[in-house]
Amino acid sequence: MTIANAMREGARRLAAELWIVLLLYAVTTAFALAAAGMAIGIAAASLAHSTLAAKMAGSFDIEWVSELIAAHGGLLAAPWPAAIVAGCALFAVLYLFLLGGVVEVLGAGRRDFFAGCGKNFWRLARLSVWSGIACVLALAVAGAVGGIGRKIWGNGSEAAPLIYWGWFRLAVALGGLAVVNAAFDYAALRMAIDDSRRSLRALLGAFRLLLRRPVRTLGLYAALTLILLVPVLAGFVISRAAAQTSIAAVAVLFVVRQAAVLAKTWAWLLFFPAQAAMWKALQPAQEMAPAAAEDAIAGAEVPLPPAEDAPPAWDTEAPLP
Amino acid sequence: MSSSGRALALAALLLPAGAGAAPLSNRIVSYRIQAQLDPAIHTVTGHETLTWRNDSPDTVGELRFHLYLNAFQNEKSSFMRESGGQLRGDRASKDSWGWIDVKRMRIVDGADLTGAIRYLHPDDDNADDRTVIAVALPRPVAPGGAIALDILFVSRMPKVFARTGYHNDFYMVGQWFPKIGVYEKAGDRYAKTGAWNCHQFHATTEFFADYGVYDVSLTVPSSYVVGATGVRQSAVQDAQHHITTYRYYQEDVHDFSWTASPHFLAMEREFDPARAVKPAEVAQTARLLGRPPADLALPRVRMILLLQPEHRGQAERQFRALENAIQWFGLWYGAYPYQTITLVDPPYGASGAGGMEYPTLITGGTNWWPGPNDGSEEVVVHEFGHQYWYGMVGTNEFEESWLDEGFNTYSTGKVMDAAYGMRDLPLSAFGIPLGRLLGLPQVDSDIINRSVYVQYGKYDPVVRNGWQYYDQFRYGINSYMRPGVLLRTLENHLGAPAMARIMRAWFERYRFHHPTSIDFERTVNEVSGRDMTWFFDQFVFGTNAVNYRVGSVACDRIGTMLGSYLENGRRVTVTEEEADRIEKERERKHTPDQYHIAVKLVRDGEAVFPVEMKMTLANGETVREQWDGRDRWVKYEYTKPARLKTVEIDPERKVLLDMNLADNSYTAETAWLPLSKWSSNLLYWIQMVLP
Repeated sequence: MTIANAMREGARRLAAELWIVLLLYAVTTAFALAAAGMAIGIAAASLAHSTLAAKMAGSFDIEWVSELIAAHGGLLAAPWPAAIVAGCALFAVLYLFLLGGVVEVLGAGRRDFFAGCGKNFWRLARLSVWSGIACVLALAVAGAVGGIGRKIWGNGSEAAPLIYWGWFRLAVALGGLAVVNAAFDYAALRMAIDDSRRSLRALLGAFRLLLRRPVRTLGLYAALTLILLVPVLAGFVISRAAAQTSIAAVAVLFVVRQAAVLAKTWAWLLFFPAQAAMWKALQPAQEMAPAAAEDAIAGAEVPLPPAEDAPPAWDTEAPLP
Repeated sequence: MSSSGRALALAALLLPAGAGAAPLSNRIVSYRIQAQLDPAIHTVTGHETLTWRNDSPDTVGELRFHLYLNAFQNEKSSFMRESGGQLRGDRASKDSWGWIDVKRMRIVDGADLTGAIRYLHPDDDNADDRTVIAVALPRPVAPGGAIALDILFVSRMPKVFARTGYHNDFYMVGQWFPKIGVYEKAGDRYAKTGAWNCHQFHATTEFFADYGVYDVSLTVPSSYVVGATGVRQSAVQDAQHHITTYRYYQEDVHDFSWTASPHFLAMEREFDPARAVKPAEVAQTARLLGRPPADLALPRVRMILLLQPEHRGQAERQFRALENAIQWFGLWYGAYPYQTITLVDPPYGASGAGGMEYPTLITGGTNWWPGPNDGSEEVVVHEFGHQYWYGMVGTNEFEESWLDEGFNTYSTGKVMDAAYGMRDLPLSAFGIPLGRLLGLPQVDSDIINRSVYVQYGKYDPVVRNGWQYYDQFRYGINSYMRPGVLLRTLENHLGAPAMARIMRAWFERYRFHHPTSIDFERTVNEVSGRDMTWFFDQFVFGTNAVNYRVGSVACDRIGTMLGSYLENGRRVTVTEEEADRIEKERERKHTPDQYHIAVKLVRDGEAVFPVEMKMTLANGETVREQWDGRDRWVKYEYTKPARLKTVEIDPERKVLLDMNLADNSYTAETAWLPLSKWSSNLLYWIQMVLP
């Protein structure tokens, strides 16, 4: 399967389940609203009836932020860092929960989204732990690359080689994290499709797949990333260009940016059906057998190995195995 | 030779080589040093002839010296204990210690004092600190007398850390020779009796020394490019040994440092006031100072830039920043009196040597790809500013760091604002200016300084020994930003012309002297003609904070009041029906409403500062009140024909020391536009960050 075909297949699949895009958008927006609401509540308490707010409407005042921190006895003593950490943790749990439904519907082709959320939650949680370790390894590799640069040029006085090397190290770090992220996606999809609990095995299998077919898999990941960047960059450019000098202008920009957020959510979700299509296409039929056998030993539900020319397992028009 | 004859001969050593022009300083010391750099082992071997003149009425039987480099000799020094081996984001190397050994010290044509050297630790209980030595003299130095010492020393440079050291073949050689302390006679600065002022080297202190003459010969490999304090007198090459000796000479300075690297790109340019300074700028400054423009004439200065070759593209920016600094410091405070200023650009990996000041030599620091606004201009302006506040006005950096760093923060800010205006936040990644890209607000010096100042935490007064602040962060705030804000507040309170004259007087009176905070307070009071003791007591010598706020605001329409009234000897009762009737009648006749306005202002801070209140009504009328700010609160009441629109304390934002400017005002209308804009922005950014 070509990258374009995988993306086309993914888009087709996602178009059939647009409600997931809306659901994810709604959840993300609700969470963002709660977080923004708390932050704006703090601002409103301080500035709602202060002339400083009008002065800050044109250009934000970093002095005000500093005052706020000082009033709480310092940044670490202020309640916000803990609140932000707690909020991020809460969202991570929520994200994993919803991801279970996403891979269940957009990857495995089953219909019950929320059953997938529950069924896959702990599997994805375990997968996240393994992926976290893989991320640390990727960063360690990037760190080692940095160390090599310092060994070679560290005692020199010229900045340029080390700066070039620093860019290379950054590329290694980002590339490593991207590979881990792609492996996470493929592993999550495989676990959902196979209905398997074996997260480490799925992750290692995903790495093997990326290693064996890097152009197709990572090429697809890069193409999907580019698509994701389109609404993100569009939103950024529009935000920088638009002057919010009236309530009406604020409202118009709000609508435009929500469209960008919706597009970003769609582009993000596209990763799963597109990569599922690619994963499926790249699977040799015989490779499913050992994993399925092991799952059977472990007492898991054993999916039938799909025949090479059988309709994809996630195709809702085909009978489910 | 008799003792008086010797004293005369020694005093002659203190005379300038090109004697003729009147000395700018009292020239207590004279150093003649021959030093040789050995890059193979990173050492400087020196032969120092020091002449010290006893300018006190005391008979001095002991000399004290700084051995600053010993701060880096091991982890037991006070500097390393206090800093934990880290300073200004730089970490001391564990495999390259720095030290200075005095191999021999003797009186010229006299006794050997080497055996009499003992280590002192006057500031703390750290007997392991080796940064101060004392030497008992066999014969004391009489008042007005002088003594010449012959000192052999070896300085081992550490890897660049805390302003000094080597990085590969780059050398920034500072605090590198045995340097005599300052003998303060009774009445000098805070001295009650005559005593040496010779502190240990701490993580949060810099330097203090007497003025004098430096005649230094530096021998380095011929491939090295050298820059140093003062004016180069000669360069003598020894072709056989591939070494060159450079001789530098400078009068009326209190330190000497130098740098050497085979890679420096040496560029020179002349600061030409006729080209660099616009007549309108001279005229404007002259008006501000109340002086004739001729008083502000600036001399030419030779600017020497020692740049890393890969930073060649930054030369113009560096020269321009230097020119701006020479111009504005010269116009505002007084002309730069030295012939040269050398700006050193340390290489990549040696940033610990950057951003430092020595007489006529400063270190900046730029990047291979610095982006359009990396703050490098500010570093250049700031370090040049130290030629005034530290270099010429020789305050004690150990004990009153605000007098150099704080004054310089204030002055640097003014130069930057005058020369560069509002600027992007100096945030960048890989040369990409993040401030501009992300649309972060632009800032000026007041915003930057005040944003940090408000974190000062009331732990310390501004004036405190450098090593005694609550922590290094508070040392930084109290030495740099808080003084910057308080001097700016003082300027706003007294007016720009008065402050300009104060700063000019401060420079002109105390250049080449060692003034104190008290001297500055006296200068302020005298030049401004106002007693500002209350200001200094609270904000320089105290820890109190200013915070005024609008406590409450009420604005009620005055309607017809119910009740029983005695009118013309008979009782009239205004009932609700009667009141309704009167109101309707007023409405019909379009009688303007009257409003009762009550405003309460509150002093939350401990400190007192007179403030102004400005009230604006819906019809545009404004009311201003002056409050001495002493009581905890004050109430103003008015009857006005329009609704209240805004109340502002300190509407011109003069009192930058106020800890919370957001509560200084009240507006009757809710700020819907900014709140909705921020809400929309924040919501969007969170949505975009979340998957």
